[in-house]
Order: sequence, then structure tokens, then C-alpha cells
Amino acid sequence: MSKKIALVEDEAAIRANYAAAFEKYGYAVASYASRPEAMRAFATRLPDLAVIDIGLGDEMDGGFTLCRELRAQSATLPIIFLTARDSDFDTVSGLRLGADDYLTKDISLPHLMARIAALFRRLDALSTPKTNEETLERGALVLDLKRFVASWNGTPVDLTLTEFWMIHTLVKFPGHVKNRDQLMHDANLVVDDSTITSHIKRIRKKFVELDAKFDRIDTVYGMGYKWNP
Amino acid sequence: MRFSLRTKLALVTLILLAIPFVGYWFVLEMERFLRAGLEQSVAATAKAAAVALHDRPALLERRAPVTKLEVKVEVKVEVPPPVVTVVAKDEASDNVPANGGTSPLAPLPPEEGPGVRERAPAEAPKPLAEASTALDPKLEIERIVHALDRAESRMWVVNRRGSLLAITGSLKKSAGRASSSTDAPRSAPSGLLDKAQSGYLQPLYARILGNRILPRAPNDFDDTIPAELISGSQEISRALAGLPATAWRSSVDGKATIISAAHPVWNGPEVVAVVVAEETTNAIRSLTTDSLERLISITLLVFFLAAVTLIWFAQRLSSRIIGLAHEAESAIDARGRVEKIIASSTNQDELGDLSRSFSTLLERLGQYNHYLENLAARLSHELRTPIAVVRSSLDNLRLDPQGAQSADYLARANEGIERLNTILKRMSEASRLEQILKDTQFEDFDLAALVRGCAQGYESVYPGVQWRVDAPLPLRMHGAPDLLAQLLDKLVANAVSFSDQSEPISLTLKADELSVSNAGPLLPAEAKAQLFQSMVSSRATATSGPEPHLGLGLYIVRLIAEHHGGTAFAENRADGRGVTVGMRFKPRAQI
Repeated sequence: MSKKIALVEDEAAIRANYAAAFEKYGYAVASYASRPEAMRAFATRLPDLAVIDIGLGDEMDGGFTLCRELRAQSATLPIIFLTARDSDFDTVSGLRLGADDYLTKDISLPHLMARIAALFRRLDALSTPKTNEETLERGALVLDLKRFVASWNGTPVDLTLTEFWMIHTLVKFPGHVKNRDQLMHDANLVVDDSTITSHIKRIRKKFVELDAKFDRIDTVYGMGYKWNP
Repeated sequence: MRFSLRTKLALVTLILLAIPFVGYWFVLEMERFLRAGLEQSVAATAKAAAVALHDRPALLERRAPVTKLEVKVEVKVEVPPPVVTVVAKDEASDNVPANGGTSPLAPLPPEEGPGVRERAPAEAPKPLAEASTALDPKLEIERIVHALDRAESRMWVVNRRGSLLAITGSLKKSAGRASSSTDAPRSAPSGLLDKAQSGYLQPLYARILGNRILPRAPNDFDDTIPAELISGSQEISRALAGLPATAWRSSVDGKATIISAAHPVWNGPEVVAVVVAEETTNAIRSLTTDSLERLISITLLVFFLAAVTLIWFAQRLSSRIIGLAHEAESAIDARGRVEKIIASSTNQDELGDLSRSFSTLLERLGQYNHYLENLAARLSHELRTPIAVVRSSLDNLRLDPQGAQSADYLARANEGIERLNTILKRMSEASRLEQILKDTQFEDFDLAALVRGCAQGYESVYPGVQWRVDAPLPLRMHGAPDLLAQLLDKLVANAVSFSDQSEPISLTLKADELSVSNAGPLLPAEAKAQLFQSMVSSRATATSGPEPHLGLGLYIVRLIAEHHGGTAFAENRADGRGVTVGMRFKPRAQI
């Protein structure tokens, strides 16, 4: 049975395009133009994954509200924000509400599909028992490449998919400087430099929350970032 | 020629100078009026005396001494000098009159001089004079006339033959009177103005204005009666003809002006004598002079006060205007940015209105500038949705199997949309940066190490470009290294794109500035100040490469520099072969 994706997007052309693309990739799509419409549908049955725009018609922050309500109904449902708003404030707000990823609309469809596939893989891995684990260990850091879960000193680090991919790129070859282009490519992102910088900052913050002495991610000015082994 | 507001208002105060002229004119009018009054009162005095003598031929005809006097007069008329000298005597004074000594011919005995000297009655013992009044017509006449006498006036009676029958009173001020009447306020000055006037101003005025405008009334004028006046003056002739008359004349020495009124004394139908009353205009003159002096003093005082007030007011107005001008000037910096809004004045006048207008104007200008600076971000935000439509459509198309030609078109369309996307990202970069700046935390770091690290990176990013890095000394700095690296990126990108490759691009870190210098075209003089504005580019031609130029790079440099309390600068190199762009630190940003 194909996975069911709920698409909540007020712009008809984009909605139709994304819906068509999802279907081509073999997903079942239910698309909604407004928050009430989506909520009514979600009341009867939750989708397997939700792609939500923040601005929904008249509701400037309708997507945030919807995300909060969805998260209240299910703690595990993958939620992706797909929006034209790219300010740090919106990103942080969206992720804090429990979204798994925050994407801007200039992402290409293949990139989007890669993320959706990854999220489904993670969902599947979490629901199946731990067999033939695929992990990457770097000292205190352990990356579960199937579940897209990172842990530091045995404690899980709550990373978004984008952040997980960036960490993965950095730690694959510790000590190597990864420039922004490499990070973007590996994270299936096309963003500007300052977005990468904010991603790195958020990642550092999450590790520092667990370990105040965390200093593994180094900025090499003018070049990029590296993982201190 | 530039006149300040202050000068102009000071000039306007000169209009107050009209006050003394109007006052002078008024005083002259007053003097004329007083003279007319004097003329009338003197005429009335003469008339009253004449009426008292009417129909008393006995007095006028019994005249043994008068005949003698008359003879003497006639003799005197034949022999020059034809002057009748009269020693006037003031009856009020029992002592020697104050002016007695000044009378030139007073002590002459009648036989010795050619002039007629009339003996003052007071010189005779008084009881004798009183006893003999009934007998002596001269004394009798004088008694009658004296009853009508006024201060500082003189009356004499002359008969048809031109003989002086009697004379009484004096034209001069006597010592006793001087202290009693007109000079009383002046002898004891009460107000400050009076004191100043009598003490300093009068002599000053006299020196400056002279005696013509401010004539002092002298008491030492020559009050003799010329003989031809008695015998042949017009008013006496007219009076003898039966008509009262008045005439003005100068005293013999010209120091005083005398009005004389002649009135006929009738004896039945015929005129037997003429009563002449005389008075000087000295009282009027001193009144006029006093008025003028007071007028001048008051005018000076008013002028001074008004001038001080007006100049103070002008000073205040002009300093407010200058202050407003300074504020308005400093409100907008060289780059056209609104630095600060003028604090709108609460003054409820036109200048307050002006200040408020300026304030509103600047506020709107600031809002507009803000709108312009945000335009890029808003535009990119608004364009993002339609671009997403196009992009997702293209992506969908690509998923379907296409003909070879369609793939070409798709690739081109994709290329176009990518470029559009890049443009949009750059446009929003500056506004994103502004957001990032808000919650960036500063840390201490070595800027020199950052510069050297970045320089290494640039070697790989820009292959084929020569570099010269001059950052030898560690430079501890309190700031955001990410942002300063971004600033350096923008400076380097700018330098690389403008470099003519004739020499290496040099990165220089000094104690007070970080700069990147390249050889190449100089800065356009007119756009120097605008280089750091949003969406301003001094590139002669729009680059058609994949890297669109929106003129945001140096704007970002400025944002970061200013966030660190420094300033962005761009200047032509001293050797005239290139341009240096960079950031100057604020002194205390270093540690």
C-alpha cells in the first residue's frame, strides 16, 4: 500500500504540481487548500506524512497552527514545512513546533522527494526492530544512517533531516574541510551561505545543550566547516 | 553681501529713530502754541494796565519829572548812542537784585551819561516812597501797573511824546524767584532719569547738539530798552494810533527773544499814553529745551531697550533657525540615509511648525528609505511563489518522458529559473543578514588568523588570481567572526570582479582597518557616497555571466561594518591605479 501524503498548500498551481509529482513517485496524495479543510480530513484519518505551507489563505500562520494540532494528534507523524518564508525566525518557530524539516519553495522536486523518502525510511526503521544496523561512530558521536538519528554520549540528539545530513557530511571524513557547496549538496539543499551558517549554528547549539564543552565543529573562515576528530 | 537675520532686525530697530523726530516736531508745535499763549497773555496784561490807567489824565499829565525825562530822551536821541538804559528793579527783592551788577549802565548818575537812567524806586527809602505815592505820578503809575505785573515781565508806560512815564518789573529772573517757581524740579532731581539728565546728559546734549537745537535760556542777556523802540517802534506807533499791537524782538545782545505788547491808554477819545508789557520767551524756551532733553533721554532709553529686546529676539530666532538647519543637515548623512529624526519642537509658532514639518518629512523619508532597503527582500519573497510554480512545473515535465528537443527547452527553462532564483536569493540576502545581525553574539577572536584563513580559501575559490596578504600581527577583536568573514568575502568578490589582474589583490589588516585593494578602474566620483547603498552598483555594464550583480555586496559590507561599530569606506588608491575598499574599526572594538 502506497504511503499517503497530505499536502496543505493554498496556491492551486503549486498544489497541483506537487500533487502530480508525489503521485509520479508513487505516493497517494490528499491535497487541501486551507487549514480547516485539512483538519476535518485529519480528524478521520491521519496521513503518513504532511507537507504544509505556513501561510494558508487568510491565515498568515495557519501552517504553524496546523503543525501544532497535528503534533498533538501524533508524536511520530513526519511534518515538513514547505514555504516561501525563509527568515530564521520562521525556521526556528517551525522546527520548535515539532516539524521534522523546514524547506523553502525554491527546493527542486528531486530534492524534496529525497527528503520525503528519507523521512519514510526513518519512519520504517523506527517501527522495525534493530536489524543489520548501519551506524557511523566518531568517538562520542553515533549516527544511525537508517533511522537518521544521531546520539552524543548515548543521548539522542534531536536533529532535523537537513542537520543530520550535514553532520554526516562533516563526520564522514573527520578533519576534512567541507565547504558550503558540499554541505548543501549532501543535505539536498540549495540555500545561501547565511542559511548554511544558521544551520551549523543550530547544530552546534543542539550539541552544546547536551554537552557544554562540545567544540567539534570548527569554522574554517573562507572555506567551510570541519569536524574535529 | 550677506546680512544675517540679526543684522536685519538690528537695522529694523532704526525705525525707532523716528520717535525723536516726531517728538521734536511736537515740541516745536508746543512751543509755537506757548508763544501764542504768551503773546495773548502779555497783550492781556498790557490791556489790563492800560484799562487801569484809563481816564486818569491827572496821573499822566502831572509830570514834572517826566518832562525832564522827556527832554533828556530827546537830547539823548540826538546824541549817540541812542540807548535808553533802564535799571529794572524787582520789587519782591528787598536786597540788591541778583542781576543788579550785570546791568551795564546801572550806577551811572543821570547827569553824567547820555543815556537815561531811571532810578529804581526801591533805592529810595521805602516809607518815603509809600508816603509820596499820592504825590508822585510816576510812582503812582508804577504802583498801578505793578499790581498787574507778572513774574519775569516788565511794563512801562510811554506817553504820546515818547517819554517814559514809568517802568516796573524785570525781564530777568531774580534770585528769589529762581528758586521758587520754574527751576524747582530741576534743582532737586528726583527720578533716576532726572538725575542722569541734569548730571551727565545735559552737558552732553549741549556739546553734541549745540545751542541751536537745545537753546538754554540765559539770564544774563542785555535787557536795556533801545531808545528807538520807545520812540519809533511799530507796536507803539500802532498803539498810539489806538490799536493794541504785539511785536517780537531780540534783546539788544540777541541772547533772548522778547515779546512786547502795546496797548493804548485812553483819555476820553484820545490816546494819551501807551502801556507796553514785555516778557522774554525764556520760560517757554527752557520748557521746550527741557522737553526736548527729556524726549531725547526717553528716546535713547526706549531705543536702547527696544534694540536690546529686538536683538535678543533676533538672536533667539536666528539661533533656533541655525539649530534647526544644523539638525536638518546632520539628519541625513552623505549616503542619503536618514540618521536621526529631528526632535519635533513643541513651540507653538512658525519655527515650531517648521521643525515639526522637518520631523515629519524626515520620518517619511526614513520610512521610504526603509521601504527601498526592504524592497529587495519583499520582491524576492513575492516572486518566490510564482517561481515555485514554474519550477515545480518544469520538474514535473522532466519526470515525464520527453522528446530530445523538449529536453533542450526544459534545460534552458531550468537554467533561466535557476538564475532567477539566484537573483532572488541575493536580493534577500541583505535583509536576511539584517535579521541575523540582530541576534548575533559577539566573541573575542583573532582577526588576523581569520584573514589569513580566508585568504587561503580564496586561493582555491578564485584560481588564477594573485594574492598578497598583509596581516602580520595578531589582532584581538570583539565581534562576530562569521560576519567579518562574510564581509571579507564581499570585499574580495568586489575586488576580484574589478581587478584588471595587473597586480595581486592585497588584503591588508591594520590596527584600525581591514581593507582589500585591487588595481583597476577608479571609483566614479559622483557615486562614491552611494556605493554602500542597497542595490547600487557602479559597474559600467551589467555582467551577463551566471553571477548577477545587484550591488548588494558592498551594502552587506556596510551593514556588517556598522554592526561592529565601524564604517565602510571606498577610496581611490593614492597611486591612482586602483581602489581600496574596506572597513574602519571603531577604536574600542579591539582588545
